[in-house]
Amino acid sequence: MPRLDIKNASDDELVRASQRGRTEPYEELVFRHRDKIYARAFSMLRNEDEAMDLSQEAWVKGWQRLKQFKRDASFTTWMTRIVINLCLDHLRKKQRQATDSLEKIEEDGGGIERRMEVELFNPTERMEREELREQIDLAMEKLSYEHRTVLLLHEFEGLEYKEIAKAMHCSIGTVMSRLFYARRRLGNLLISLKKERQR
Amino acid sequence: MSHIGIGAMENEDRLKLQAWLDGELPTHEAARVADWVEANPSARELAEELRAVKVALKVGEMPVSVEDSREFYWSQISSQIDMEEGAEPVVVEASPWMEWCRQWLVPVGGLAAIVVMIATVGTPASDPQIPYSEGDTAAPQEPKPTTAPALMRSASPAAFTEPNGNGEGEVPAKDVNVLSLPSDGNPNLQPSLNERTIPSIENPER
Repeated sequence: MPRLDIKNASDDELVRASQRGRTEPYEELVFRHRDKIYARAFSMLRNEDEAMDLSQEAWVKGWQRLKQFKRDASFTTWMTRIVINLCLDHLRKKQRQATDSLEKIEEDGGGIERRMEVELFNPTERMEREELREQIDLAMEKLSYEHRTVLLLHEFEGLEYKEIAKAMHCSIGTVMSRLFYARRRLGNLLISLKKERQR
Repeated sequence: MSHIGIGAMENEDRLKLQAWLDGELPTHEAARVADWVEANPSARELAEELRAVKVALKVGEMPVSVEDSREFYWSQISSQIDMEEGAEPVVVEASPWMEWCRQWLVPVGGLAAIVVMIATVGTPASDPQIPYSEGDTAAPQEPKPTTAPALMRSASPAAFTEPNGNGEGEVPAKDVNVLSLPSDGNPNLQPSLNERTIPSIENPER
């Protein structure tokens, strides 16, 4: 068998070599994708230390379960699913310890989004890409973890309603109402932030 | 579906509108919702707002990255992997012989010990204590403790002295070879024993 050129090998080659128990190819995979995995953890948790801990835990879990990886999705997709599940477990535990957020109470109690006026102007008009990213980041931070997560999973990970429901241990109806609320709230927050900046 | 404002719009209609935007509706239902949105200004406005948020999110997330060096980051992961692999319980398969011993010898042995105990404790008259006097050769001897220094002294009395702390009287390491075994005059015995019992540093697997 020819020697694997780790630096130039594809992800698939590195995965195959790692599945045979070699750690050097796995280290290369970690190095290539650690930013993406950390970024997903950070976007869900909004806390650097927790994101670092859980992203590293995801890499450990990835190694332990590597033999189960059938390569029907890309390695990064598979790793992203692992980190998402770890973050969701972590957030659920935290949620159980804390009292319900005001947003969740409002949403469960009949939907604050019904009282929000429909905004007739585009909240992101004439914004530079970087500025828009910053504004979205600020607005995302203001959402509860349930609303932020459904948005992230749907918009950035491209998950369907039923996949989100499975990951979040809730019904498709709950996913739909959370997504609706999250979008309307995000739109309103972006407009408020825009108005603040224009003042 | 009716021509009403968003505030009065049924929750089901709003969610259906959103599902239509997300491409989650079957074709026939998607066509029906599209017609409704087209005919209903409130639904159209809501669709525009939701679409604007969807488009805004297309710019992606703020880029964040791990600041630790590759080596440090990996060392944390690999040590965690090593720790968890080491922590897994080692299941030792018992051999059939060991299993047989556990099944039969242990209970039988235990039973035998109880029988012996009952036989000895339960019948004191059968084992009278024999008094002994000083000088009696039958008296039990107190076992004398045997210490390593005593052994070494007897083995090489001239070579061993207590270290005095300032280096005086301390014996060079080569003179106190506690690992050396008596060769009984056989020059072939000692090297082979040493070779077997003390693996060399160069080849620890020997």
